[in-house]
Amino acid sequence: MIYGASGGLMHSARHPSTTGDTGMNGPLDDGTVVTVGADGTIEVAGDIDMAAGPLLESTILEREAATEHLVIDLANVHFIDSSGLRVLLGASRRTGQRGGSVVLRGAGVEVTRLLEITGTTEQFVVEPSR
Amino acid sequence: MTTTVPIARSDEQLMARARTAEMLIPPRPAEIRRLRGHVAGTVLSGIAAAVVRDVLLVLSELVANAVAASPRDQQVRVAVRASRSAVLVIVENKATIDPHALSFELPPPGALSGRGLAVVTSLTSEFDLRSRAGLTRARAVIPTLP
Repeated sequence: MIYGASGGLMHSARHPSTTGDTGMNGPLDDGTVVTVGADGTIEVAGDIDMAAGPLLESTILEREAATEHLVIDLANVHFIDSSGLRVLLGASRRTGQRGGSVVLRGAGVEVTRLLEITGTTEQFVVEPSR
Repeated sequence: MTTTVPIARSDEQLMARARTAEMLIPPRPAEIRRLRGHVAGTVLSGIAAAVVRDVLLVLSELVANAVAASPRDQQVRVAVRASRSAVLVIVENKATIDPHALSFELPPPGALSGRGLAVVTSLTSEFDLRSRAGLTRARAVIPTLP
């Protein structure tokens, strides 16, 4: 990335991977990590965007093989755009076709605002953090 | 190779009088997050959190579209200007698209994709997307005042 006068030259630097409870995890993007907790909850920390979406989707697909009721903890998600929303909507559609659902837990203002803007809130079960 | 493309003279004059960042980024998804971080920490510093959220969402949607459409050997040009009353975002990339083939309205709630431009439209007071002669330019204005 080349910045203008205020930014100088910046090099990308990858953060180390974070180990989760089950080892079924990985870095999605610089600073974005998805883990699967012992209770099967998918926990996302960081941003869900064009870069982070594919690995989140792969984790969701793995969980879908085990259950039709997904719980995705978004309490530590600081940004989401329509690319990230597409991943969540895909999970909602697939689980819905099997009689299941997607719970979005602990969604902050960034997530809830995008759900409201796009009119997609009702595609999910939205619940507060435990 | 670095490719630069001109922006409109009127916007250029406005940007000269305000807090501005201009960037060239490779068309790679991982660059978008770094771009958001840079803009948030510089041009948008001191602006209300709710406005910053909207600007970063608009920026991300427009740059993601540009990244997806750009040839790998070209760069995406991004300019962000913050003034007292508004934030201007300009994204330019080397590609030709047909804006008339795009949807600026929300699809049905169950649809998986096609929301990016509708999100931008809903958060901006001005938004236009032009494409010709191998150059696509998106211009969006996000108000900072109620």
